[in-house]
Parts: sequence; structure tokens; C-alpha cells
Amino acid sequence: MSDGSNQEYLIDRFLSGDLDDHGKEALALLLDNDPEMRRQFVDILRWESEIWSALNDETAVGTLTGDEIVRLASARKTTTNSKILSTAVVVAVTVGFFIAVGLYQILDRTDDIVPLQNDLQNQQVPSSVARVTGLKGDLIWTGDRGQIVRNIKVGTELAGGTIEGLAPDSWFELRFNDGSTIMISGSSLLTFGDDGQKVLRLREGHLSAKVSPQPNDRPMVISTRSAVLNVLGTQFNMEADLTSTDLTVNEGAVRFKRFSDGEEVVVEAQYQVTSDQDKRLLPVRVPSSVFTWKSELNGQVGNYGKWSPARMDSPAALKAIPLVPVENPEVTLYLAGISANRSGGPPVVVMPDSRFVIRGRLKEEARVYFGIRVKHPNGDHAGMFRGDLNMLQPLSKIDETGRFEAVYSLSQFIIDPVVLERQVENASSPDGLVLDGVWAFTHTMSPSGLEIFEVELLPPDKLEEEHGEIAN
Amino acid sequence: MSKTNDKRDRVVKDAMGFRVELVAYARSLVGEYALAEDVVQQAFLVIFDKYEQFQEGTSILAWCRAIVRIEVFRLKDRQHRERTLASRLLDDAITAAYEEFQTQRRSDEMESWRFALRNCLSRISERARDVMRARFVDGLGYQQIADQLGMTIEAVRKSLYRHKQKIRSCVEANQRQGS
Repeated sequence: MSDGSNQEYLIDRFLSGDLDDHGKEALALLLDNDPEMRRQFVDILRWESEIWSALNDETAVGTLTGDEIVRLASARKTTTNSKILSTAVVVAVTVGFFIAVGLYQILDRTDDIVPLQNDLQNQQVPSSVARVTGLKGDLIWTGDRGQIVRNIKVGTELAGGTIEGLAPDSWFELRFNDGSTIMISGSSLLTFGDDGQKVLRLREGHLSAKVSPQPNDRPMVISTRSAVLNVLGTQFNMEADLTSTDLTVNEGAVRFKRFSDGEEVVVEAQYQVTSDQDKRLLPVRVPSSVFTWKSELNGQVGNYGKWSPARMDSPAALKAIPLVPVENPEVTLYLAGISANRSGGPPVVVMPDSRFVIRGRLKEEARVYFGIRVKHPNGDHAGMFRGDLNMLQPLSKIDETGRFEAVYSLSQFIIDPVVLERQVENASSPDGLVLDGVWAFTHTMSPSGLEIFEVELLPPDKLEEEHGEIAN
Repeated sequence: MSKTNDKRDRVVKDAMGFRVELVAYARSLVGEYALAEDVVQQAFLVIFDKYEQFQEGTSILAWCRAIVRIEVFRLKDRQHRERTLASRLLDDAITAAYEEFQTQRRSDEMESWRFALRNCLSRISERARDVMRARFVDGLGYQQIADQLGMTIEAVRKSLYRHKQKIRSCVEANQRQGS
């Protein structure tokens, strides 16, 4: 049987309700990894549904027309309960019994029918498996009953679901009931659950975990598009995107299996490995720290913005895209974020008196605000800092082609005020910590056209002489 | 007619034009057409209530799909269905597939396409139509269809596969001739 037929057979079994959880996981994995499978799935459903519709119309089962919807909904909005009921009866007789069932459900609802954004505190969580212990920035949590929640708070109990970091400065920490903690940062998407065994899926982004000892027969399982990790108790960091998964183990050991060829290795403390298809699955020792860094704009996991390739008159750039902060929905920022994590790359340590230089382009002069996210050497989140708040950030001057350069000295960095408002733990200074990511944004009345060509971390002059090599 | 009503009627009408697409998406998530249709009916009522939230210039199909998704979860909640991690992952993957590949098509294009489909459906044997009706309209499984129509499961499966292919070829040929 060809791959195409196999796929069709799997979809057919799913549509027949014949797939168990293993089959569903296999189908989910195929859909995640194979665009052709996704296209085929949607195509098959489209054809079947069109056939269903055509056959259904022949058998003349009533469906709501547009006019009936208007009538039903208007009646519900503008009349008393008794009038709604009588309307319901008339309409139900007209369009069939199943609509009467639907109408009952309509009457049973509150006015706020679609809480597209709602408050988790007002909802009952069936059985908590974990508690939110830290967060910052724009996040959306989708519970396993489909609630979409943006207003998550520290202390909230969660019963599994999907957490999505929407911006480069997003950060989220979760503590399971056994004390294991996981943290995602930047633009990341994580699904988690615990029904006696912790099962997580990192669709993309960065994840750090500190895992309490797990039962031998029920290790924590973390899957990505390209690999699966079995964890019995350890501390590690990982990042995943469409093509690869990178793992760095700080304490203990993690079993790492690559999906594409089934190859498996145990990664010990202070070693790292990547599932990249072109590389042998071979753990290598974590390299020594460096004190300089240059951004990678294209293909970097966790970057935020629209990448454009180099042109004759312009280098490659990451263009800032709109972001509406949760804290202030009236404001639109134009923001670009760049991850400092690199597959197999050394940790970049931020030294006192270092400075960041941004080079880019603006449509017109504007203040370019700048922040960094740092982590501890073991991968734990350490904090967020802003380089533009200690003094009023000056307007960035542009040349005739719109190019600008802005410099931010580490001595001027202060704790991001948003972190202070949320009362989460934050290091007092970024000195000596490992750079995790940077972001820059403008806050202007209209799009600023902010494009980032390059961000560079330059060490103090003395260190620069000692460590001339740029870590890129 | 007020501008408010104009927008409401336009949004509802456009959404109704995507009824089959929305049923297809809901069917992927709830497992049967009858439930999917209920979900989409509910979603239309929500669309009527929330039409002002639709942002002009964005995809109405994507907006309606998001509402259908919420209605699906409401349905599962009402039915007290336990959602395993595998189900959640699959729901997410299905939603991503629809976001990527379910596209809005022009209404005149769809009208001619559906006309061709009905025409092609009328050309297959009554027996094959019975199998299709049992499967799609009545929502029966292969075993139930086999029992009801006195066939083997394999014969049911083959009949469905073969006639879906035939209908597809017929519609595509019809469309090529028409273009």
C-alpha cells in the first residue's frame, strides 16, 4: 500500500470512529509533520461533506435559512421569555424537531454567548494538575474543554490544555502537583496533561524543565514534531520548530528519540543534542560561554516578526509586526523579537558594562525601545530587563535611506516594569546571566516601518580585547 | 435599512454561504454529521449575535470556523465527554490543517460545482446511493450498513471508495467542460 493510500486509510478509520488514542496520536503527528496529509485531510472532508449536503438536501431535512436565523435570534434578543417560547414552538414546527432541540439550547444560554476572551477565575476547573507560578506578557491558555483564556494569573490551577506565548517577551511557568516545573518563553506553543503520567507536546518554541523523580514506568514524555523525550527526573532546556528539536541537559539524563529514523540516545548532564536530519544523533558537550553575540534573523526558533531576504539595496531584515498588549489593549506596538538560543551554540553571557547595538531602518525618526530576556546557566528563567527606561529614550536619527543605529548600555538596564507589576521573581540585574532573547519596538501613532538588520552584544572594551571572536 | 442591519445581514449571508465548509470542519471534530450540523446551527446563531465583532477585510470563513470550534467544545462539555491528550492534539492538528488548507471559494464557482455534484450523484446506481445515504445521511458505520443492505463490510468499503472516486472524476470532468 502506498503512503498516500495508507494516509487515506488512516483518515478513513478516523472518520469511521475506529481510531483509539494511539491512532489519534499517530494521525495528529502525521498532520503536524506532513503538509500533503493536511491538504488531503481537508480535501477528503470537503468532498464527503459536499456529498453529505447533496444527499441530505434530497431527503429534505430542514435546516435554518438565513432569514430564519435572523428571526430566531431577533426574537431571543427582543422579546420576553414567554414570547420566545411561543416563537420557538412556531419555528420548531416549521423547521423540524432537531431545531427545537437547538432552540432549547439557545434559551438555556446567557447573553454572553461567545466568551472569546474570558476570565479563568470565573470558571470551574475539573481537576487541577498544575498551578501557574509565574508569567509575563501576552499568553493564551486553551483549556481541555475549549475555553480560550487570556487573563491567566499566578496561582491559577489548571487541568491541562494548551498554553501559547504570543510575543517575544512572553514567559510562563507551571508547577505540577509533584513539584516538577516547566517554563516556556517567547513565541511558544505547549500542550500538557497529567493523568498519572505527564505528557507534553511542544509544537514550537523554548521549554525549560526541572522534573522531580518520576515513576520508572511512567516517565514524563515530551514530544515535538521531530523527536520524543523520556524524562525520569532532571533539569534541561529544549527548543523545537518544524524541522528540529534541540536539547541541552543540565542535570540527570534524558532519553532522546528522533522520529525520522527511530535513532535513540541518552543525553547526560552538560551535553546537548539536535534532531536535525543532516546530523548524526550524537550528544556533544555544552560549549564554554562567550561574551559577544550577533543576531540570526532567519529560521531562528522564537524569532518574532516578518523576515525579508537581502536585496540589492538592503540587507536581510526582520520587520516589526503589530502587537496589542494584554495590559493595554488601546495601544498597538510594532515589535520584533530575536532569540539568542542557537542550536549547538555556546551560552552568551551578559557582562557588566556590555552594550547592545541595534542597526535597522525606520520610516521616520522614532524612539526604538529595547528589552532583553535572560536565564540562569541551568536554563531557568532569570528575568526581563529594559534598556530604554532609565533615561528617556532619544529619538533614533535616520540617514537618507532611513537607516539608524541605537546603542543601549547594560549599566542603564532596569527590571522590566511589567515584571514588577506581576510580582514574579526577577534577578536584580542581568549581569553574569545568559542571554535568552531580545526585542525592540516602537510606540507610534502609525506603523513606524521598524526593520532590524542586526543586533549585536559588544563586551566591555577590556573583554573585547580578550575575546575578539564574535559568537556567530 | 440601517447600516447595522446591513452589516448583520451581509455577515450572516456570507457565513451561510460557507455552511458546508463549516459542517466539514465540525464533522472532523465531533465525529458525525448530525452533531456537526447542530453545532453549525448554533454557530450561526452566535454569528448573528456577534456579527459586529467581525472585522471587515479579514476572512469570514476563518472567523466562523473559530466560532464553530468554540461551539464544538461547548457540545463536548454538555455531553461530559472526556478529552484525552491524544484527542486534544488531534483537534489542534485538524484545526491547523483547516486554517492552512480550507479556502474561501467564489459563490458562483461553488454554485456551478455543486450543480455538477448533484448531476453526477444522480448518475450512480441506486444501490450505491443507498450505501452513501446510509453512510453520510444516516451516519451508520460499515458494519451497520453491511447488515442493513445485506453486504459484506469489505463490499461496503469498496462501494463507498469506488463511487466517491467516480463522483469526483465526474465533477472534475464536468467542470473542465464548463470552463
